Order: sequence, then structure tokens, then C-alpha cells
Amino acid sequence: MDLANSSFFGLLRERLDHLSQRQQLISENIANASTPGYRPRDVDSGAFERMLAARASGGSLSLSRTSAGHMSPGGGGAEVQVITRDDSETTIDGNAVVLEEQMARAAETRMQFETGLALYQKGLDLIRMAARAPGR
Amino acid sequence: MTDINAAISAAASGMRAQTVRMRIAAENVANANSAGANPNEEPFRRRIPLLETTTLTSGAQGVEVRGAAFDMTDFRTEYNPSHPAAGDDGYVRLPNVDTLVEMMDMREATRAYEANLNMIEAARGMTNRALELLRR
Repeated sequence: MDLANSSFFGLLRERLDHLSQRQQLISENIANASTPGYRPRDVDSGAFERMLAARASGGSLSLSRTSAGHMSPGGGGAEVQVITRDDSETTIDGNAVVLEEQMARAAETRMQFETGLALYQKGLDLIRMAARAPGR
Repeated sequence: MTDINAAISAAASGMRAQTVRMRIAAENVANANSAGANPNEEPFRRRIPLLETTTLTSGAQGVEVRGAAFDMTDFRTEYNPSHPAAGDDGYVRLPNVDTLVEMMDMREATRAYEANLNMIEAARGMTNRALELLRR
């Protein structure tokens, strides 16, 4: 039994990867909160949810093909898509970062990350319980 | 974990850039009344930090101060014939520094600095939570 790649742990690991990448992008946005012309980036959460749905229904990961002319990918890696997402205001110098919105997004990401970790912990506890000798 | 480290390095670059910005604003305020010693000498000219997005060694999109440009707006003038730097018409040229503008700039730099600090705190919290899995 490959625990690290079982559906439960594998999914959680991908989730944590995705969240830490999102945290990196938010950190970059905040660092560039005063850079003229900078536009904030974020991960495409829709793409992640689509991937999650495909995974939950038992299918393997694959890139979506929106046209018959698209090549089918060889290795179906879970590439996170990075998109530009402007905040509610853009300053005169073209900077579209609003610190408050980014901070809220960072808090949200952190909470989701901790939820993922707590679930991971629960999974480990279950395995530990199963591995324990009976009657102890 | 590389994403989290990249997040920290991006936030650190933001803090560094905001410190430089703060220093330049402080220099402007300090020299708000630095007139020349004679009519031919120019008074202090206000400087503006130039922030630019840069790719850090960790791969994150950080920020750096590329340099400081001179503010080419007109100098303030004040009628004071007794001043050694007064011209033939009795007017003294004074720096083009508006302390109110500098104060606003400093306020913004402080806010951005704190936001970056919060990001480092959040990234550290996430790493610590992940490490707690090992402790149990």
C-alpha cells in the first residue's frame, strides 16, 4: 500500500501544494504593492476545482481539450494555472494591488492550508489506529 | 515548501524596497529647507524612488528599488532679499519638497511594510503547522 500516493493523502498533498503556491503569489502581489504598472496574479481556482471534480469522480488528471485540434497531453500533470486578477481599484500609475484584499486572500489561504493539514493529521491518526495492536 | 520560502523571500524584498522608499522620503523631509549658498547654486531637489518588479533567486517575483529619480517640478520661491541665495529680484529658490506629500508617502510605505511583515508571519505559521505533523 502506497500511503503517500493513496487517493486521500495524494489529494491533500496536491491541495497543500496548490495553497502554498497561491500564498507565494499573494506574497509577490504584496511585495509589489507600490510598483507602477504591476497587476496582481492569483491561481485559477476554477481550474483547481475542475481538476478536483475529475479526481473525485475517479478519473485521472488530464488537461481539458476545448477543441478537437488540441493535442492530448502525454503526462497529465496537475499544473496550476496562474492568472492576472486585478483588485477593485487601480491607481493612476497602473498598479492594481489593493493591500486589504490581498491580506484577506492570504488569511483565507492560510485557513484552508491549516484545514488541509488537520485533515492530513486525521488521516495519519486513522492509520495509526489501524496499525495498533488489538486490545491496547 | 519551496513555495513558502519563495513567499518569504518576496515579502522580504518588499520590506527592503519599502525601507529604501522610507529613507528617500526622510531625506526629502530633512532637506525641505536646504536652499543654496548663493543665487547660482540650486537648492535641494526632491527625489522619487523607482520601484520595479524583479525575479529573485528563489524564482519569486519580488520588488527592487532601481534608483532614485529627480523630481523636475519647479522650485518653491520665497521673497527674502536678505538671504545669501536671493536673486536680483529678491526671491530665494527653495526645494520642491512638499512635506505633506512626503508624509503621505511615508504612511503608505509603513502600511506596505506591515503588510509584508504579516505575509512573513503567515508563511511562518503555515510552515510551523506543517512541522507539527512530525512532532506527534
